[in-house]
Amino acid sequence: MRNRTSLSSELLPGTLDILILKTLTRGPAHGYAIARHLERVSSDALRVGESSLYPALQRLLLNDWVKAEWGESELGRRARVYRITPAGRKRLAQEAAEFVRLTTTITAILEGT
Amino acid sequence: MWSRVRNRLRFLFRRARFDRELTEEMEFHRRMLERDKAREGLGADAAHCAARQQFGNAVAARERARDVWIVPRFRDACQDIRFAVRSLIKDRAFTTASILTLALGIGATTAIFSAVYAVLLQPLPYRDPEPLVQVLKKNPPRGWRNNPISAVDVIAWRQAKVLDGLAAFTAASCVLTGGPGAEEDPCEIAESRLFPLLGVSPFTGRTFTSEEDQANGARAAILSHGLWQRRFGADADAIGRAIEINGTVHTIVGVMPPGFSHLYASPSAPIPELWVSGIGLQATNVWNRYLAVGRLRADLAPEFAQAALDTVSEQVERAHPDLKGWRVELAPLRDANAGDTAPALLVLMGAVVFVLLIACANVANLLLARGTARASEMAVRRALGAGRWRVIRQLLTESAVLALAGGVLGVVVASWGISALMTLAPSYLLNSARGLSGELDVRILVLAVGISIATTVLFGLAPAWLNTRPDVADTLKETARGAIHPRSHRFRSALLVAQVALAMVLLVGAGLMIRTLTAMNAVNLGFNPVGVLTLRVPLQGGRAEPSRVAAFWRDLVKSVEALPGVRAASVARGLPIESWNGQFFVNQEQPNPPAGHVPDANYVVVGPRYFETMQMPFRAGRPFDDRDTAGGVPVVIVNEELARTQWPGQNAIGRRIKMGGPSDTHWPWLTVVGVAGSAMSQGPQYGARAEVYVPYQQYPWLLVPQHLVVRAHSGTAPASLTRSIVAEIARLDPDLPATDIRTLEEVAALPMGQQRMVMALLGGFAGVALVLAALGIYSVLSYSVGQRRREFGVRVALGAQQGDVVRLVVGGGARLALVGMCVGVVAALILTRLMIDLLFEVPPTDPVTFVAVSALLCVASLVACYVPARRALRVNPVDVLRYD
Repeated sequence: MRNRTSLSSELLPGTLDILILKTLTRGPAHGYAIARHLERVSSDALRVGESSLYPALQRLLLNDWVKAEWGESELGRRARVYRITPAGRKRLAQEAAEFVRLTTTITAILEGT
Repeated sequence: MWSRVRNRLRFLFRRARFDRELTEEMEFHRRMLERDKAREGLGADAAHCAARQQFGNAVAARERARDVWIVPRFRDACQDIRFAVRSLIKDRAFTTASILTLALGIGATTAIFSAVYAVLLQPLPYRDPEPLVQVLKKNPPRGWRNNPISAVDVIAWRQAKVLDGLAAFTAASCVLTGGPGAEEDPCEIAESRLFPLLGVSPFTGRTFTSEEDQANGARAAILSHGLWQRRFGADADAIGRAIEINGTVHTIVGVMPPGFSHLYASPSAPIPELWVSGIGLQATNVWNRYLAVGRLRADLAPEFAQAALDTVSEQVERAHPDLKGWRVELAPLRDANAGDTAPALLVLMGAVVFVLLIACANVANLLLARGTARASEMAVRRALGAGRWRVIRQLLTESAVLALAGGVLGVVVASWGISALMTLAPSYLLNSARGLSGELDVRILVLAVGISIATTVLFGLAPAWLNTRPDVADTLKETARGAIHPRSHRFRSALLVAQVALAMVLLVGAGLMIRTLTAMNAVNLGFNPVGVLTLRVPLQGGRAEPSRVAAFWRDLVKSVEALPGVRAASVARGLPIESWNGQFFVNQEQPNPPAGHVPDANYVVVGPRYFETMQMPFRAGRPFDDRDTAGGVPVVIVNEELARTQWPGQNAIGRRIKMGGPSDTHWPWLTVVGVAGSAMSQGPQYGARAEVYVPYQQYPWLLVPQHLVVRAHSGTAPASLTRSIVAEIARLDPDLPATDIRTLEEVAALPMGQQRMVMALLGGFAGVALVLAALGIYSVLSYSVGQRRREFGVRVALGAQQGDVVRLVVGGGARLALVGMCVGVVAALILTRLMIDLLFEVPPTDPVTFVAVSALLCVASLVACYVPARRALRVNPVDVLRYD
């Protein structure tokens, strides 16, 4: 078994939101696709459980950072497809900058000693 | 920020859809997972299990997703409310009783206080209304009060400049002809300065000019907003139009704003529909026929104004002996406006506070009982791990839901109450300047709901506090054994005593009103109002010509008497009870009474057969007949009271009197031809006073009769004659209105209007109080019987008889009721004195009422005790002993 990180508890709060928004900049996607994408790009290091994924998606919806609509899917069932909004892109830019600043600071501290 | 609120709201309204979609979305996720697992080479079943496992708890995930949208505290509150409603619905008897009680308390209080505010406290709709006074006069040596004033008084008082403005007016009747049919409306002949004094501007047009005050100038009329809409179709062109009023041409100059109404609310002054000019005050006219409004000067104390005007009156009476003894009587317009209903409204206000108190006590009692009954439930919850605050919050929510439901229903009750009040209230209260509008006072509603919420929350919380004490084990043990909190029980007994005492006071009040109305109805008025119809037929203008008046009435009475169902008919100027036309007269044997001692009598103009129609007994002489014409000897019929005071112990027939004061020379001497029985023509409160009756045929020019009185045959309802009589009037003169059609019984009930209203409402309140008090006794006893089952079982097992058990239960309740009644009697003895203005021939400490009310309360309490006692009897000792 590889060591996997569960997103909700151990990463900084709000990180999943940024990751989802970043994923959606590639194009609209449904929840499962977002989860799979995050697993793939992190080489399975990140396991995005639905118990954190769906609350995060609702949070983004609540803030109007993403829009959702029902569309067809490969299973023949309808799936809810999320699309990033202009407000979401703005938010992503802000948060990403903030995140980088924070991690740089932390890294600097860790390497400084 | 704003979009989040909007999104949250949207979520609240589409919760079901949200849940459905989330479920579907997650199901899709799970299926995709399952498909991918299958692709990895797992079998269908294994893939299904793996997907399930990896997916985890879908319900929890959904909950968390939903939590994003709802503030968790809000969700808890929703849960609490849902639970509270469910648990209240389960305890239906308790919930119904509490909500109804609260609604009655809130509703009755709001309705009555709204009425009191509207009629008594609300500021008058005039500019700076506080210094406005009603200017009347009194004659202390003769004991007369609230009398109209004369032109001499108006002019003299105005010259003294003691008041910052004084305007006179007089009530009249205006017949409008031309246009859509003839119509008679109450009106006022008003001075031009009245409107600026009140600070009221017309809705459109203008008010009178001072030139128009002249008696012989051009006449102007101002319409009420209602008349303008009704008769003139709210036509702006009505201004400037000429209309005929009482046969004289008037120009419409203005329309008053809606709601501008009469200055004084009084049963005898109808609400004017228009105002006409041409008051023509003459400096020599001593006839007391004017009403007036004045404005007190800010720099003079009211006592000083009174004293200064008294000095003026002393000068006036030296110049005019007829005005001897009269002094000004100033009353704030604020008080005058309520008529004489202030005592009634204040008594009702006190009563309704009692109702609210009883309601709160009752709800407190019910809540305490329920709280105690649930002590073990609370203890179990605490034992299972519910926090103390959580349990208390739950109970608090229940109380709040209860109070709110009571409040909502209370608004419904209040709006019923106010419409009931509108029906019961004397009609003049509805139309006066500051009358009942039928609107609820929101501030009072909020206060009443607030009081009941406070009560409910407080008494819902008390048991919660007691029952969630930290030592759960003790509570569990105690409640299992059926122990009663002695403190809570004592408190409930005190509440019960208070309830019974309050109910006692209300019942005594209602009983006194019933006794008053019975006494008023039992008074022999001296005429028989049953079976008589009265109609007003105003003859004005050309129709009031002496030659035409007599012929018109003779023909009308003759044709009405020929109608089937009519036993007798006659005419009169003024109806008993409703109008009193006091006039001086002189007895020929004492032609020069000292000034201030001139006798006076009610002057009534009537037709032949008047006494027969009214069924007034005749003591001596003859009634009027066809001999009494304009050419015959001037005659008069006096009543027994006048004969007794003027010619004590002697025969009055053949004696002579003359109307007017000693200095009036143009009135003829009248010969007494008959003595009629005395009637209480001013109402039962005033007793019999001197009256003179003169035949209209001899004085058609003086006071034209205006009322037709018709006595129906005993089998005929008088109101059923209306149609045929109106048809006869129309046949004689199609342009003549017949108004004010009432039975004499309705007229005779006028003085009792206030008492009737108070009795109906007080009776209703007392009934509610009685039921609530009985309910209180019942609930306390039922509860204690439930708690003492074990004790009763043991007693029966040890040989107690049925009688012993009943005595034990009933005795406990009866003792509380008795204490309550004693407290109530003492309170009633103190409080009923406040009702004295409303009572008639009944002392506020009337023993009959007190005994009857006590008996009623005893019976009600015993019934309320007996039912739980029966339940105590059904306790089976074997069951009880085996349970523990």
